[in-house]
Order: sequence, then structure tokens, then C-alpha cells
Amino acid sequence: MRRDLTRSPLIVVAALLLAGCVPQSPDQDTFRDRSELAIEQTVSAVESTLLVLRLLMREDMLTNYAEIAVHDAQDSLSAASGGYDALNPPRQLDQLYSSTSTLMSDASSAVTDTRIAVSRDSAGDFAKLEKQLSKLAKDLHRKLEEVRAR
Amino acid sequence: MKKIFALTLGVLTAIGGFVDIGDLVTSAQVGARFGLSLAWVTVVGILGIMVFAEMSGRVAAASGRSTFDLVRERLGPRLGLANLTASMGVTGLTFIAEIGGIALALELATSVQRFLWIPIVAALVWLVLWRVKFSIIENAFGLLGLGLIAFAVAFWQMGPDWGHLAEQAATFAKPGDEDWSTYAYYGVALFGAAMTPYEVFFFSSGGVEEGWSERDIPVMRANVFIGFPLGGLLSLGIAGAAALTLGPLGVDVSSLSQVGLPVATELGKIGLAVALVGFFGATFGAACETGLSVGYSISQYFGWQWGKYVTPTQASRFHAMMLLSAVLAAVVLLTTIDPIMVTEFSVVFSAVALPLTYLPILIVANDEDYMGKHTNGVLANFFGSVYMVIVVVASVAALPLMVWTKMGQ
Repeated sequence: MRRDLTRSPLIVVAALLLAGCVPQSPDQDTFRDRSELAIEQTVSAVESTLLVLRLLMREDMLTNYAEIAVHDAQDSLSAASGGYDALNPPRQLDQLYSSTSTLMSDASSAVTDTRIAVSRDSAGDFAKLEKQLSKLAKDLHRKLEEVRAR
Repeated sequence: MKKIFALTLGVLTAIGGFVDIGDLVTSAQVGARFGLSLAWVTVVGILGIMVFAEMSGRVAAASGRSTFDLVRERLGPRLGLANLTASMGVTGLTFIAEIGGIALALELATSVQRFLWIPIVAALVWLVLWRVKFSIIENAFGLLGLGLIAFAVAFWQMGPDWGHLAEQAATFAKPGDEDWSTYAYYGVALFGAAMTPYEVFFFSSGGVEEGWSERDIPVMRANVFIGFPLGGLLSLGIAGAAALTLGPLGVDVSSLSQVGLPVATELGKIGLAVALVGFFGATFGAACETGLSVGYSISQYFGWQWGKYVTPTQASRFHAMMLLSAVLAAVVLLTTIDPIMVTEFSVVFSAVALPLTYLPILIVANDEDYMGKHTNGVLANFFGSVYMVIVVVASVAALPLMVWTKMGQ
């Protein structure tokens, strides 16, 4: 009897730990919330990168600072997409999952390209990247409004 | 003239030393998400820290003894230990966050990864605590911290609609897309950041180290009543600049690099360089203060010899505590934990520990045996009691809000 009592909390803890390792399958409302959060995090990273890039183009930004700021944006984007990609979307929200993932992937590529351009000090690429990030930021804001409106 | 210089220097260092990594990050986060709608919390927090810093400074000046020494003697070892545990947990966490903050500031200035800086910074902080004079630590880093004025200047330069901002600050309202629970969570975090316990321990122990007597009470009060509110204005400047620059873009502050962007937007490279100096000065100064607070508090509680003016051979355990803290901070930060996350935890746990920190100070400041004619008057007790209610509410609400909002998400 005593052994059972000492074992049961261990079983509960083990079950909880294992549950944490299984990809989550949220319901529709929770998935929408998680999508909204993922888009918000992507907006934040893209807008930060865009701001840094514009400041560099105006020569109002220290290069070392810019490198780290874009690196930070890339890190936060990786964390956001890692968390989002680990979700199992409800079948009814496949479209939302796919469009959000695509935007996050585009954002990740653009921010990575910016990081490389900044570290190489390739000022010639800045204008093209600025255009790309501006468009992406607009798309992300639009998507965010769309998700919030539902 | 010498007295005026000392007073001015004291006030300036109080301004520059007021902001630490917790204020920097939390003010920018709150500004970007909530505009100035939580500015009232900063004001309440500044008033609170003024009430208790003045009280603990008066205790030090009137009794010549430090807070933990008196707390253990007056309230007994058990309550003293609870006070020590709660305060030390938070101060230790804050120390780690400050060391991480210095490494982040150096990373931004040099683009060398923070992991390389962490052991160097921890060693440097310990070396400064061991070898550098108390007055130099206080003045040098306090003055470097004044670089954060760049935020206030940038905010002013942005030419905000002051009427709108004043209305936002005076109205108890949140932005439409935020929940009340998130609003409350950030309110508690901001309050915890403003009222960090280490500030009063450092203030009172520093007073004992410098041999404050009753004659020093007016200077101490000038530092508290002029320096602290002006330091608080820096926090509001950081929040205001973030509100105008980062808020409209939807930037959610999650790194120190984002905190400085509003300054670069308005003041360019030079402004950003000044702000970086401010980051370094504020975090280094606070790391020294928290590191010393760890040594002070533990040594005072256990009755060990303590003090910067005492040689390491005479106060070996005091110095060993600071060395251990620096090593521990480096080890924790080298696990790749995000210093900003440590900062977020430290300000929330600071709010949790507030009653255990400030209640003993209120009790000791009312004890005529220690305080004599400097015992708390009606006004000090009124504010002290009102703030005890506020800190209890913040303390009780902090952890449930942190879990409920998933740390403000």
C-alpha cells in the first residue's frame, strides 16, 4: 500500500513530462490565438529589422549595433516559427496554418538576407532588402488584422 | 561650495543610478505595448521607493546600523531569515540579470557575442567590488548611467502630442487590443522594477559604510527626494520614446537592441553611442549595487564582519559571498539562458518579495529604541502603511498574473 502511494505521484509526473514532449493539437480557438501570437512575433522581428535597415541607409546607425539587432530579430523569429511549426493544426484551419507558415518562412529568409548584407556591409543590397521587408511587413499587418477580426 | 558639489554629485548619481536592466527592459516593453497608459504605475513605484529608501537611510543615519542587522535583532532570527531568503532570492536574480545586461551592452557596442563577455564581465564586476573605492563605484557608474538621458532627449525631439500623452497617462485605460490581465501583469512588473529591494539595502548599508550620522539626513533626503524622481523621469523617457517609435510598428520588445532603436531614430549614431554608455553605466552600477547587497545582507544577518572599507582578510566571508555570486551569475548566464528573460522573472519576483522586504523596515523605523527622535512621524507612517497595502496586493497578484498571461503574452 505504501509503495503504491509513493509511486503514484511519480507516475503523474512522468505522464505530465511525456505529455509535454508530444506535439500539441490545440482546438480551433486556441490555434487561432497561437497563430495571432506567431504573427505578432513575426511583425515585431520584421519591423525591427526594417527600422535598423532604414537607419543604416540614413547613416544613423552603428554597424556593430545593427548586426546584433538583426541577429536578435532572427533569433526571435526562429523561436516563434519553431513553436508554431510544432503545432498540429485543426483540419478546418489548414489554410490559416499554411498562410501563416509561409509568411513566417518568407520573413525568416528576408531577415537572414538582411543579417548577411549588414555583416558584409553590402550597402548596395539595402534598398532591395528594404523594399522586400516593407512589403512583407504590410502583408503581415494585413494578416494580423484578418486573424484578429475572426 | 564643497557641500553643494557633494549634494549635486549625490543627486546626479542618484539619477544615473536609478535605472537598471529591469527598468530599461520593462519600461520599453510597456511603452511599446501600452503607450503611457501605465505611466501612473511608474509614478506610484517611484513614490514607494522614495518612502522606503528615506526610511532605511534614516535608520542607518540614526542608529548607525544596517537594515538586516536590526531586522534580525528586532524581529528575531526566523522572521529575519524569511526576510533574508526572499530578498536574497530576488537580489541574486537581479544580479544575474545585471551581469547579463552589461554583457548585452558590450555585445551591442562591439558585436562580439555576449557569451564571450559574460566571464569577463563577472570577473570585472568582482574585481571592481574588491578593489575600487565605494565612492568611485557610486559616482563613476552613476554618472555614466546619465547617458540614458539620451532617451528623454529623443522623446522630447519626437515632438509628441503632449496633451494626448497626458490624457493617456491620466486615464485608467488600456489599448483596445490588450487584455486587462496583461495590463495588470505589466503594471505589477513595472512596480516591481521600480521598487527593487536591493536599492534600499544598498542605500542603507552604503550609508553605514560612509559613516552617516544625523547630520547627513538632509543630504540623504535630497538624494532621495530629488535624485529618485528625476531618475524616474528617465524610465518615463524610455517608455515614451518606445511608445512613439516602436508601438505604432507593432514591435514587442524582447531584446536590449530594440530598446535603443528610438534613440537612433531621433538622435542618430551619436545619440545611440551615448545611450550605449548609459546602458553600460546603469547595468554596471546596478551589478555592483546588487553584488554588494548580496554580501551586505548575508553578512549582516549572520553577524559576520562586512564592508568595503574592511580588508578582505578581515571580512573574508563578505568578500567570498560576492565572489561566489559573480561565479554563480556567470555560470547561470553561460547556460545560454536569455538575460532578458531573467530580467522579466526578476522584476516579477521582486514584486512577490516586496512585503517581506519592506515590512521589517517599517517596523524598525517605528522603534524609538533604535531611532530616537528620528522615529517615523505621522506622514512617514501614513505613506508606509498605504504602500504596505499596495505591495501586498502586488505581491499576491504577481505569480497568478504571470501564469495566467504566460508572462504577458
